[in-house]
Amino acid sequence: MRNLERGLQSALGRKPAPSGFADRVLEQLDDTRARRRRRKSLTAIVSRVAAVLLVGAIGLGAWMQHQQSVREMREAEAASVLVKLALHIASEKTNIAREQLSGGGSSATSNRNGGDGHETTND
Amino acid sequence: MEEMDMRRRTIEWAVAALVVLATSLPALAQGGKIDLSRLDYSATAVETVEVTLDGPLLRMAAKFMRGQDSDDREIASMIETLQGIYVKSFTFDGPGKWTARDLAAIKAQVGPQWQRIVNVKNRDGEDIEIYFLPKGDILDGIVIVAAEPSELTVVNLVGHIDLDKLSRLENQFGIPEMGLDPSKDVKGKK
Repeated sequence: MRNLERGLQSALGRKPAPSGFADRVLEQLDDTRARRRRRKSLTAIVSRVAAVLLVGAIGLGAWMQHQQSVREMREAEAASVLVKLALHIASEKTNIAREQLSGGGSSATSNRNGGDGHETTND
Repeated sequence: MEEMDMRRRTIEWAVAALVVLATSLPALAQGGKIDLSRLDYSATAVETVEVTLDGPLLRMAAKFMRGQDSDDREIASMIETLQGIYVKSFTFDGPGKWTARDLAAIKAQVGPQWQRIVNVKNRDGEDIEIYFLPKGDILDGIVIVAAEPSELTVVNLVGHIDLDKLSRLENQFGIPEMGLDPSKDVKGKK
């Protein structure tokens, strides 16, 4: 029984820390803190870079969309000029034919009503 | 004997190809569109106007014009029902620069479903023909062929269009009225 008590006392009894133990613990603690600080700063840098990239991507997208709409607007404007030109030519020819039909120095055949048409000569 | 058989087969194939070609010409004009690609005098003409507008570009033009003044809005309402606008117009420095064969090739595309509603010829050699493609109560296409000694114009509007509105357009776009009085010099060339 005594042997057991002695054994327990020896095993569980207070022992002095090896020399330099406290320094090593403090050193490790500093390392851990430094690592955490480094990780935090890295995360901050990555976040900032991601934010800059995101803002840049949004800006680039908006700029490209604007350029696209400007290009489409220019194309539409050019197309509208061509539409006017084409319709003007068609209108001009139609009016010449209409005027000739109403009697002005021409031989004209009109089949407007889907019949056999009539012929007018005004030479 | 074998050679004669081969020759006969070749002739049969040639005849069949010609029949297919002849029947496909009016078919090209189906749907109101005629093929103007072969009509090209741009190398010899002093002035060439070529307009090809269809699909998204025509829609874009209509959308753009809807946001403009009332004249443009009226034109936009006209072209909203169109599927295509095709124009070829050549002005030459003298007569005899275009061939009747090219004109005949254009007219050959206008099939029996088209109606020639106007044919005007005058002493100055001006010849205007207007064809409509009726579809029920509406017009599904217009072909205007205007031939003068020194000018050749073909206009093809595909889709529904109001001819009266078209006639009224001449006074718009800030362009003075032209060609309404045949006694006047229409283009300063006669």
